[in-house]
Amino acid sequence: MSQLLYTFSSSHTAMEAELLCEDAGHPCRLIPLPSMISAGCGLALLCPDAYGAAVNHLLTTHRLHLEGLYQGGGKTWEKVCHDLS
Amino acid sequence: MIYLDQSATSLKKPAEVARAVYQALTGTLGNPARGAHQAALEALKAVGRARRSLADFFGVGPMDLAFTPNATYALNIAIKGALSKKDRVLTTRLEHNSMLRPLYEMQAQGMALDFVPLNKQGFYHWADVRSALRPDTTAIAVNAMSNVTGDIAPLPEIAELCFKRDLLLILDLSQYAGTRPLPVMKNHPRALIAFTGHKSLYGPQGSGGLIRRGPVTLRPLITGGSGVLSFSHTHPDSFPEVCEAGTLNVPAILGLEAAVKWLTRQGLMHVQEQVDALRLQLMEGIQSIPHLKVYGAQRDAGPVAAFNIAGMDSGAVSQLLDEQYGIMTRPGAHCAPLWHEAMGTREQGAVRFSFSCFNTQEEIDMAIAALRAIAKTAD
Ligand SMILES: Cc1ncc(COP(=O)(O)O)c(C=O)c1O
Repeated sequence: MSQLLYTFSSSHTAMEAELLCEDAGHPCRLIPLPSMISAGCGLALLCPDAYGAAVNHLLTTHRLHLEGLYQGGGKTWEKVCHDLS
Repeated sequence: MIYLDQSATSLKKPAEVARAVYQALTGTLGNPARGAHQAALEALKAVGRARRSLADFFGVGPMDLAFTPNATYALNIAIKGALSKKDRVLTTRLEHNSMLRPLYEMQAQGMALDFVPLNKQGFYHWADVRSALRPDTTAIAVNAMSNVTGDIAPLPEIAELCFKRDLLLILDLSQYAGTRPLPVMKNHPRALIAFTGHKSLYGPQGSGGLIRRGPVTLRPLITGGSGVLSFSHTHPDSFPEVCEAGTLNVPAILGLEAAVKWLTRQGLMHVQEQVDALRLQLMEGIQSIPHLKVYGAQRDAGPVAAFNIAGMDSGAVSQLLDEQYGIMTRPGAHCAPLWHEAMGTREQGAVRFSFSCFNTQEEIDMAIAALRAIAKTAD
């Protein structure tokens, strides 16, 4: 099943994203950044595809700065966009 | 033992604070923002939650609040990180050295620095702030509550002035935070707001922070490990990382979170009324003591009171209080040199009493009696 991976340049921003998802009841969690994705804060927010729109909305309304958004699963991830705005 | 030096640091903390600090040391929390294993993520989450609690308490967004070891660090980060030699800063003579010394350092590098003059009562009116502004003033740096007299700065008016002229407001909340809610402001200017955790917020020493309001860019003051962008030669300038080089003091941060939750549960206004009543009790009790000169301009000031007994050295009075009556107070200059110069107390200093909600009316009665006895010796 395809999933979404949000990356951030700040671990604190990544954690705030996870807490926002937790509050909203979205089944998303922080995971270590897969090694094929470079840079970032070393953490990424993993979300089921179905929650993409809701998570995008949360991140934009709370103005959390995103580094990248990837789609895929396991070891294969493809960059979807840099910026949600 | 009666402790009336709560403005230096509040002695007794709520039990929840001690529990939270202890809990943080029991072996579940790793290094936040360093690594992605369970213990690191657990710590990052705990800090993230604390950031939210503090941000809620101050009415800002969590990503606009950075943790620092105290207000001194926060003010240094703000002043040296946001200002440059191109700036012209207006400040007051009520500032603490943690504001003044970084400002003087910037002045030595070419930044212009002006002061709002103090009146006979050792305070200023907000119109004095307006008239001390120059056409090229770019920032106002003020102490929200005097650590000598408890007098409270006209914050809504200063904020409005900053907003209208697009000046950066640098605010020192060290004494103010926890004593009363921030006043309602019509408009919020761009601001950097420093607070310390260990005074009226009832948190542990080693906790504090810097709040950013609106678009303000900071150069990092301390650089090093940030847990991000490890191959870059420069420290990230994103907030809060720009303020948080090095490992955070997680036990103190979690203790501070417990403290603001406790304060909120008690009701800030309720705590304020309790502490203000103690100050008023002291003020009324010492009014009739001969030779006693009380400083300060406001009746409804914060939980601090300063005075002198005739020409007695403030250190001698404080020592008598401590050794003969078991009452701990703070004499001297209280790191506020310009206020003492303006009031002519550079040599004598002043005796400062400061209160927390853990002080009692009986303690204040004993303090009044002790002062009465000491003042008799000045006859
Ligand atoms: C007005 C004021 N500003 C700043 C500070 C510095 O606080 P800290 O020592 O916690 O950094 C104090 C502490 O006494 C203070 O009273």
